[in-house]
Amino acid sequence: MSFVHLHVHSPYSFLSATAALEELVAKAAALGMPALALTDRMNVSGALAFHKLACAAGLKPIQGVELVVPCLFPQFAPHHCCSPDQPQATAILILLAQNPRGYANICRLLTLAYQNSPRQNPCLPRFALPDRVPELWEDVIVLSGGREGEISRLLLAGRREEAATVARLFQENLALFYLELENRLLPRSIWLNQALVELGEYLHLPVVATNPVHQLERADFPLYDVLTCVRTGTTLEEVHPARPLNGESYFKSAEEMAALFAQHPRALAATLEIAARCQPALDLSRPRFPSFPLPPGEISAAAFLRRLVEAGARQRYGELTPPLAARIEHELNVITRLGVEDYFLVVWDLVQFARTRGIRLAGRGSAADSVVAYCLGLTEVDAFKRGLLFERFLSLERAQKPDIDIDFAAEHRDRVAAYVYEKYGREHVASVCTFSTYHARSALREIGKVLGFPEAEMDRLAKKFPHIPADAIEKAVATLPEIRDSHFPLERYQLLFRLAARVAGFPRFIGTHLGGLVISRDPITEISPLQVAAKGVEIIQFDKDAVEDLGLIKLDLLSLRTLSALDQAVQTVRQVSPAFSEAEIPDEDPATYRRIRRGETVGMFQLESPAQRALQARLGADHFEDLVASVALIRPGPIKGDMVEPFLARRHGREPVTYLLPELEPILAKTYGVVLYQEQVIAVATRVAGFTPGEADRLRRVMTHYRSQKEMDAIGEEFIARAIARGIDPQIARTIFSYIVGYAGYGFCEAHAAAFANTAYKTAYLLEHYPAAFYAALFSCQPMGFYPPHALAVEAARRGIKILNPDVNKSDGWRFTVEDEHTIRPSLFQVEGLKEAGVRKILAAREEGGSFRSFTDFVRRVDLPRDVLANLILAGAFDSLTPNPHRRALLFQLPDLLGARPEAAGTGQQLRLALEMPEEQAWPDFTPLEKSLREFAVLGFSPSGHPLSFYREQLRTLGIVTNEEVQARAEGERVRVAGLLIRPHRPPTRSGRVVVFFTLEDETGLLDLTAFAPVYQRYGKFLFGAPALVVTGRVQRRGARASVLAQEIAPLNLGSMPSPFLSSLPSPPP
Amino acid sequence: MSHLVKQKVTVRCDAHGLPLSFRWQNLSREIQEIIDFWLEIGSWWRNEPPKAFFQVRAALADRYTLYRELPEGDWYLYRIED
Repeated sequence: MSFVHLHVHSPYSFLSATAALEELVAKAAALGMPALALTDRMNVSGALAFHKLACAAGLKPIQGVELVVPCLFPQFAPHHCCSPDQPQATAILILLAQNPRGYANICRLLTLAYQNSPRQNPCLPRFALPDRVPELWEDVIVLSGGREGEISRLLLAGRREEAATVARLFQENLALFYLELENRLLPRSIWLNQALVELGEYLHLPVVATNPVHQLERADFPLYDVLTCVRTGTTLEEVHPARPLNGESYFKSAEEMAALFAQHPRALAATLEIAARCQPALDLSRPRFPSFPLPPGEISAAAFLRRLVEAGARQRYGELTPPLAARIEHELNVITRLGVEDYFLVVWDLVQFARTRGIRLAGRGSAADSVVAYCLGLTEVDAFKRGLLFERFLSLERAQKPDIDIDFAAEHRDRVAAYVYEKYGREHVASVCTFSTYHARSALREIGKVLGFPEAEMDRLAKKFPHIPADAIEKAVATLPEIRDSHFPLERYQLLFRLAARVAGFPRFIGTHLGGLVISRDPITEISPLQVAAKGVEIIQFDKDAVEDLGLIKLDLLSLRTLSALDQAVQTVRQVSPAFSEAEIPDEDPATYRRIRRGETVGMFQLESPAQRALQARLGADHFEDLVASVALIRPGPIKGDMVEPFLARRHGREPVTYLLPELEPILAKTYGVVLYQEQVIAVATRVAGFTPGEADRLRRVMTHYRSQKEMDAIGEEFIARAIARGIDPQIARTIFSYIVGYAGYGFCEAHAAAFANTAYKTAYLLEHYPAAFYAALFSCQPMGFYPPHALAVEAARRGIKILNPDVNKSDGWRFTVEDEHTIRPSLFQVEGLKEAGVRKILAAREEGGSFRSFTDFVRRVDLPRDVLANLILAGAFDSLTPNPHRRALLFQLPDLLGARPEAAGTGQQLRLALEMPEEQAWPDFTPLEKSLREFAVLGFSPSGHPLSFYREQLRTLGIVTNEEVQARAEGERVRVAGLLIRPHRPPTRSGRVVVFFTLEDETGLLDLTAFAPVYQRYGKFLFGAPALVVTGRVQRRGARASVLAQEIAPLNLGSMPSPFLSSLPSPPP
Repeated sequence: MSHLVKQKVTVRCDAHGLPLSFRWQNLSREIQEIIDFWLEIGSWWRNEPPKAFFQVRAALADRYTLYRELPEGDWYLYRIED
């Protein structure tokens, strides 16, 4: 007895299935089935993983899809087959690809469906059915779709003639069309199958048996039911026709299917016949990257690339020394042998496009290990000068496709992408997709709603959880104090937690990868359907991990707001100092390094996090290599690998810098003998054991991702044997191997660190010498970086820079502007609620009628909603219009003035337009504290003064000192501090113990604090729940800055103080 | 006409658990034919048992729908169609 499942759903059917691909394939193999189909609803996203898994398990993979098609007799369709977005009645068909051509046709049909339907309800258009375009259905086997197919539905509705008409349409236009029998023990299944068999006999159509698989086991039904509720937006208590009646949609064995279809043996046998007709349909051997269109006169991509590289090398280096020429030759040789010249030319071309239009860019990642990339202008890291190993990027042994990541100034990234679409054609370019998967928060919110818990309660509960996988919820409940000690009735959530754990990692939404584009030689629809993502761009149905196996190469065009900020800051500096040239920023500016050494790095790219600020205060950076090391050190890997302390000890001479072999010194000298960079692991293996660089990089990758001790032992034996053969003492060889094993998994890519350090240094220089211009740019480019605007405002104030209120006459629409070297004016766009259209209205009115003369004049000339006008008042944007600004009075005037707008003509109120505000008001304006709080709510910071500054005297009575004063306190001194809480986080530690790092902000600056596990366990609910804290602890002095080791933590509860301070922080006051 | 009944009944089954006859309102009805059979899980979140439904032809009416709470629970007459 044998059987093949031909109608199978994986989680890529999005909320329609509970069994992972791995489980489905393993089950089919365990049941001795020769083949298995994957037929997810309207997508092939699982096709590649399914292909690999099935082949590995010895199963034939049959690629297919559940295709939504329009009903030919919609008048007889059940009501639930329509929806507000898709009023057309729909049904399904199952399509199975017989070969790669059939698979490509499935992709084309899906693309047509997505291009001609509402985004959320894709359906094949009528013109794409097989009677209209039979060629699109060639090499595709079609099943009638079981109970959800139109033929079955018509039979159930008693419309035999119409069912026959539909069946004939497919029969006459398809080579292989089967009537699909299924028996999931639903009402009238027995009758329906008999009716289908009779129809088949009448029309001479074959029948085939399926059991649409949505679960692995019968016991998985509750999860399938819950996911269906999520999909249909219902709760468990609500009835919906799409909800399954029972748990029979599970992966049945051949014996179970034989028992169900004992009356229809031909339907069972047909599954094997169909499987025999289908071949693996994913063609993974075909390279699909396009040829770069060569300029006239160029004979080949390789020759053109060589010419460009040689020209670039002369520009970069002047004279080519023999070692440099040899290095370039080596890289070109590898590139040519791997056949990826066109890829380099494509990237070079789009970089040229950006540069000629003044779009700021910076290459990142391991591409910066390449001298060729440097010569082509793709990166700014001199890989030759730094001695970086090309094989970390590309090697013959690894033979992976190159991956060049380029950051572009954020606002211009889409222009570059548009150029790629235009150059290679829309049929050949698409964005890579990403799959948003279920994590704890999303699982709790969505499943909680299905179980009937109030949405607001689930939202509050979800926010208590950090960003962890959904299957880590129960552990978090047991271990995290902010959840354990919360007031939530956790015992009521047991079912919720269990169900949430089951959906961990399930894809929930398909979206657009931030930067990834693929370009294909052939139309992309031959390898993937295209669909339109929420952002409006066309995406393929595969993510970045799949594209290389599909023969595609990804271009990573990323948007980086830091580059936009750099751009804006440089523009501002040039307005004041036209002679300023970015190219002339000195390499090792002492003042810049002094600021870095003080740990005053807020706003600097990659150097501003609390961990970085703490590092800088101890590192004593004084040259560029320190910045490169800094970028690499503060990463989860090096921190977990405990590299920071040995590095600092050697950097400052507290530990001797030693080398096991003299030949290791040139490799490890720049990191004081510590293996910090991945490139160093490769170099050590090359130098000590005689590995080729490519072999050494393979060793590094195995070490990084090793899965078994046996595998690691085998590599160790090879390394040691080859080292001994080169005359290395066996004991030293073993020690070196253990050394690189200890670090390989934690090291960071030096090329990437160097690329980021380049940008970091520029931001540091601008922050040191042009703080107003740089802070203005940082504010304008929010959200970016580690800190919210109010923290930047405090830091700017420490540098003597005043942030003014926005002004309807003086503020720029979009950017913070520098009024003088000590003054920044916020943009109008910064005001909460003032969207792009609102800003444009203000600018247009200003352009047309000149400056606003009064608040009334503004209201008359600019049509804005009342809430937005109120926010402008609270932000102080009208303060300059009267000699005695009175924000509360303006708020009171607002309703009357709005009623008197020209569009309110006919109400008789327009006469009031003539009325200006009375000069003297009977009511008092907001107090300075009230102004501050309201500004904070509508701007994100308070030009009138930091909220805490108004409480300083009262805080002092509680023994609370300022953050600035802590800097003067001695090591170990007990202090009490208070401030707004910024980004508490629990980075991974080598010991696995929880350590919480957080920052408090007051009017004098930022203070970093640390809470170890016992303190966290006791006060976690405040650390991850209160907007502001009072902390008592001991001063720690490590390097130039003081921090505090927290001992007691409490929410900042100002009790008798006359202010709704805490409650006012998150939302704007009226 | 269809009448919802939902009353407990006594059912005599064969060795496979299929109903042969049932007694309702003091009258025993021999089942002439099982027309349809299906399973319903019901409100699993309230720990309700799943149910096996049998639509049968028997004396005194056109069709009867019986169900049994699984795995081996009580039988109910669910609906009568005249």
